[in-house]
Amino acid sequence: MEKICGKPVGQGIGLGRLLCLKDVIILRKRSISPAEAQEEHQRLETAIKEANREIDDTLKLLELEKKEEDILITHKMILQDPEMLGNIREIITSELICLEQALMKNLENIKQVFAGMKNDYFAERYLDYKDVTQRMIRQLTDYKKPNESWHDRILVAQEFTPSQVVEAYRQQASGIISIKGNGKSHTAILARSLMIPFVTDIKKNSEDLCDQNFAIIDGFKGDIYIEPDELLWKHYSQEKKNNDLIHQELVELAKKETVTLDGQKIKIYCNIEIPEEIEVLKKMNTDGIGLFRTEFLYLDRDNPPSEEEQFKIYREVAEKLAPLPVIIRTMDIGGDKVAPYFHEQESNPNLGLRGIRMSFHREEIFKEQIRALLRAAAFGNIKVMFPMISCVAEVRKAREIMGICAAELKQEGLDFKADIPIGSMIEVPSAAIRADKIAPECDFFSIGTNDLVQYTMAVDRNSSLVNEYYNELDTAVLTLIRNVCNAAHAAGIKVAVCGEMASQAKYTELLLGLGIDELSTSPAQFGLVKKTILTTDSAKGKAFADSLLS
Amino acid sequence: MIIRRIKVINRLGLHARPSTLLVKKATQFRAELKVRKEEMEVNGKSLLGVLTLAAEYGSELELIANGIDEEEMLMAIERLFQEKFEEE
Repeated sequence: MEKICGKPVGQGIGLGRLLCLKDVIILRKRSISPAEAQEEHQRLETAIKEANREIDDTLKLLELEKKEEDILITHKMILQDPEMLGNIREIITSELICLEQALMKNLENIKQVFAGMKNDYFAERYLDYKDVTQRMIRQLTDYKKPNESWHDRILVAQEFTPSQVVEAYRQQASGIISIKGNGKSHTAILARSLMIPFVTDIKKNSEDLCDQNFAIIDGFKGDIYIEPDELLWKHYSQEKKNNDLIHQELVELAKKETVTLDGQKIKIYCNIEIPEEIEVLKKMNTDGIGLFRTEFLYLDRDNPPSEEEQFKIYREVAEKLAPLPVIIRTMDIGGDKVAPYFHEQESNPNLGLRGIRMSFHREEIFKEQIRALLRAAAFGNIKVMFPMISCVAEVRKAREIMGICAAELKQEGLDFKADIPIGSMIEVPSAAIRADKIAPECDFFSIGTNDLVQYTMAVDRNSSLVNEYYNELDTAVLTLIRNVCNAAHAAGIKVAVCGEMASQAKYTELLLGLGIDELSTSPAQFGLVKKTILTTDSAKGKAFADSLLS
Repeated sequence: MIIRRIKVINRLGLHARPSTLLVKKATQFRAELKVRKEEMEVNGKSLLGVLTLAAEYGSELELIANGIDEEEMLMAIERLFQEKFEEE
């Protein structure tokens, strides 16, 4: 048994055999019969062809430096070297081993030849052969083996793409081990909301994770056990059963209507960060998306996304969710979320160009987003929400820009929907205090509790020196929330909470008691919050809120 | 069959790129090509073969061509050597 440690990302327990995907070198040790040798020769041809195609694609698609291009051309020559291919065929036929092993053996032979050379430069050429060999082996173990199901397997790869995680979810894989990566990637976000046991950044080489080995993945702790003993296997099987029971209960729950004990219907939405997360929502029976963050489109790149790129994504999300609403929040760049093309030097970014202020500052980029949203709205139920609103003038200005964009689209003859509902995030204390001014000009409110608490209490909760002062239950915060609810109801609009408080079941009763109409949670917490609503009595919640504020 | 002596005159010797060019050129012809350095003789159409010669600057090589277009082949390859494989 061997224990490997990594970072826990997707919570849950998984047991099963490992399945190493394409980018991990697997050595299937397999002896063959003389009759099968021909088949292995054929596989060699295929591997060469595919490896060649891969190199050609790279040459075509990437702008390479001359030096890198030369290396790839050398690799192509290696792939057609009659001597070397002859050697590989000879190894297969005489030793009766499978192609993968023959390739490794051939590489070993080549290593010996080069190791004997005095000139370092020539000795290093061995690496080219290693590279090409690995490339060929990769072709032999493709990532979606049609005959090899992912069901009940623990997938291993250097890194996973979001679409692979969705595929793992669909095929009900037991877990995912990503050798590289961190908890903030899109892949990690997705694994979390799909509730797939997911461990990343492991301190171990992939070569130690062999295909077919039995393993346990503990996504709560970040531990992986290879070939665990029976005792551990039993222990984790039980753990998994317990987890599955809870999970099952939540799935059953999803079918029920969300009503409090006293019969009050509560809408409950999900927050998503990337479009792939929609996959999760299907099973959960949500009332829609209460917060679709758009930062993923802007961060980690050198240029802002084009209108067309955004339009496609918003449209897809709207179409998939229709007729349910999708509340799309315009870009919330600034503060700790920086993109190179937005960078402004500020001594205090959290009080600087953030949210809607950045949008006004870079109006040309903001307009592209608004245009994309208006166009996509023709395909589903899109609502637009502005972050970091601090006073009513900002809502007016945003509305005005929307009007300009609509007029432009009309003139250009493009399809769009003009009269889409707009809402304000309430996360700046000034907006919470004068919600009565803002409410009549909005169609809905959504409270971002993280920032509201941070700005009300003047606490950076990411600073370990002061985060003890961060208190979402402080009566100042609760007073503001209640004030926002009262102002909204007076203007006849609804208030949701999309901040972290909404995802914590312990606050559900209190929030409803304060007057919150709707909740938007992270997908992973949706079931628990829904379960809590079903056992909440609104009168009791109100009494509780009143007692805290009296 | 023609045999011709040739000296490696490009500074880096027959490293990856020149070897690739040499093999690429050789495979354009139907004749066989052997390259000999001292006691070692390799297939001139095999990159692995040519690289294993580890022919550095100043090495003396023998090119042995055999086949229908051997003359043209050697002329083309000699030119590569003379032009120092477009290196400098």
